[in-house]
Amino acid sequence: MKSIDVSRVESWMDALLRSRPGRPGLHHLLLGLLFVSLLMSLFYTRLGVPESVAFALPLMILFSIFLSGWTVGRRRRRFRDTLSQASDLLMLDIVEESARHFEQLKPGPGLADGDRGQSCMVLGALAERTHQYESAARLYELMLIHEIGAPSQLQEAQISLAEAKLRNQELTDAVTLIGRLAEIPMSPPLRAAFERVRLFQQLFMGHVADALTAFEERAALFRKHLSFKAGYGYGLLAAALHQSGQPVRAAAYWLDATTLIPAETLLLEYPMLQTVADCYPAMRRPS
Amino acid sequence: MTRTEARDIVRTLRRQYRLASIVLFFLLVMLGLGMMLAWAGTLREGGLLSISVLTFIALPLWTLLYATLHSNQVKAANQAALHLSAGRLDLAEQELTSSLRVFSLYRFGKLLVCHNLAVVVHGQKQYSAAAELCDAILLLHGSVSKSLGRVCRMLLADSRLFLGDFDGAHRVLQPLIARMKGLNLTEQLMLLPIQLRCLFAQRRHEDIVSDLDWKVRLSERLDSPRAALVHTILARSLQQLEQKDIADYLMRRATLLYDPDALKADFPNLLSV
Repeated sequence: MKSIDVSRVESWMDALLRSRPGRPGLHHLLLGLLFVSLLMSLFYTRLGVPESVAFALPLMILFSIFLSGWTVGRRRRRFRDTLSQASDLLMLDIVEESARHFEQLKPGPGLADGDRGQSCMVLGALAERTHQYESAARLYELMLIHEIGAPSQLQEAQISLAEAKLRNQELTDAVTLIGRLAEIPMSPPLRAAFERVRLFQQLFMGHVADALTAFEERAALFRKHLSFKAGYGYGLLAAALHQSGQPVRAAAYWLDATTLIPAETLLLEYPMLQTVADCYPAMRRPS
Repeated sequence: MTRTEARDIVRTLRRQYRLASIVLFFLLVMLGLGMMLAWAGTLREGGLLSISVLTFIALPLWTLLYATLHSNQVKAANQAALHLSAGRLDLAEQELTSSLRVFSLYRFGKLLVCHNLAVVVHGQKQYSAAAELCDAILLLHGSVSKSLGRVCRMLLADSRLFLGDFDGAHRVLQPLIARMKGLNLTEQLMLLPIQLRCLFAQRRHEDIVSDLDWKVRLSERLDSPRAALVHTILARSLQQLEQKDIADYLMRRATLLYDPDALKADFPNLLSV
């Protein structure tokens, strides 16, 4: 698997930007030519154009229009299919295979904005899974600067950027961004994802009292909107309770967290949970 | 939306679908005729004139009907998506309904709008209306090989399950289950809870727990209510098969994922089985 370094992220972004719609393309040129050729075939005797040319030219241009439309459509479908495969594999935690599919992607004209945004989100997630947070942060930054993707994808990118910056130890930037995001209205699932990042930031910086504020609301938000990823939230809540000297509640939350996500996976994502894992028993799936 | 309103929309859709086919045929004939006349040279003097005149009439007409009206439909679909993201299902329904009543040559676009309307109506828990719309789409475009047909089938099966028609739901799903490996992950995720509800209604507990690890793994990618639903069904089937330990574990996970009372309210038919 190729490493997802910052230069790779930047070259991917360059390719996406170069293929951005807006400039007149081949299709517009062909439509103009078709119009001119039809005018020519109407007045071919007056213009002195041979009859065969006046007959064949509009047909050839018409055929080229259909061909170019078909090619663009096929390229878009292929891009979408490969991206969907990469995304599916990533969802199933098959990271290497997902990265191999992603490497086959080539951005071209005619891509929908949502597909561009989705490709960035997949590349960002790949970088995060392989712990290349610097690349992930750069990708999300570029995505936001150039506004690539649908509004919901851009909001998701902001949350992911805050987390990547935290993991890169760019604390000032991360705290500023989290503070700004806290003021922005967002959909409940995104709010839940944001609260998880904010909780991580509070624990990471040792602000245990802050981590315990609105405790029940946070737990309910995680449960309602994060599905299995609520396990990460419960793990962080267990850490907050442990650090504030509430071992009984911490043990209960750790049990909930490990019921949803195995302890090893939780520790891989948040090594800071090691102290909690050392103190409380984890749930094991019966064989 | 009531079932009668849905039927009215379906009638309009079918009428427009037929009309679009006739207009498309007429335009193609115009273009073909123009070319044939010029090619055959039957009107030696006016051969090229005929192709130009016919093409000049047919192409702008095509562009007008296809691009202009289609762009209105796309605008309506985008507006509906905005209403949906703001949680305003009623406004999204209005937007899509009025868009469906406007004629367009782009027949597949019409089906897409109708499908989006079915999703909205299903979200409003108007299952009989959603079933009417899905039935109409499958009648006009029933291909299992196309994504729209597959999603519509699942939506229809889900609506029938909510209406208590378990056998009907199972019949609709059969072509999908037969080609399960051809489905992408998103479709498999969508299918899993619907398929398990069907099987649970038919008390096929062995089938439900077959390939248990894969089903559990898939369900971990679902949203909270559906993940809890899948876990609950798996746990109940395992209880029936007297595998208590794993059943308790899955039930505990289901409880952590979603409020059991809310689950009962969301899927009332499930518990009556």
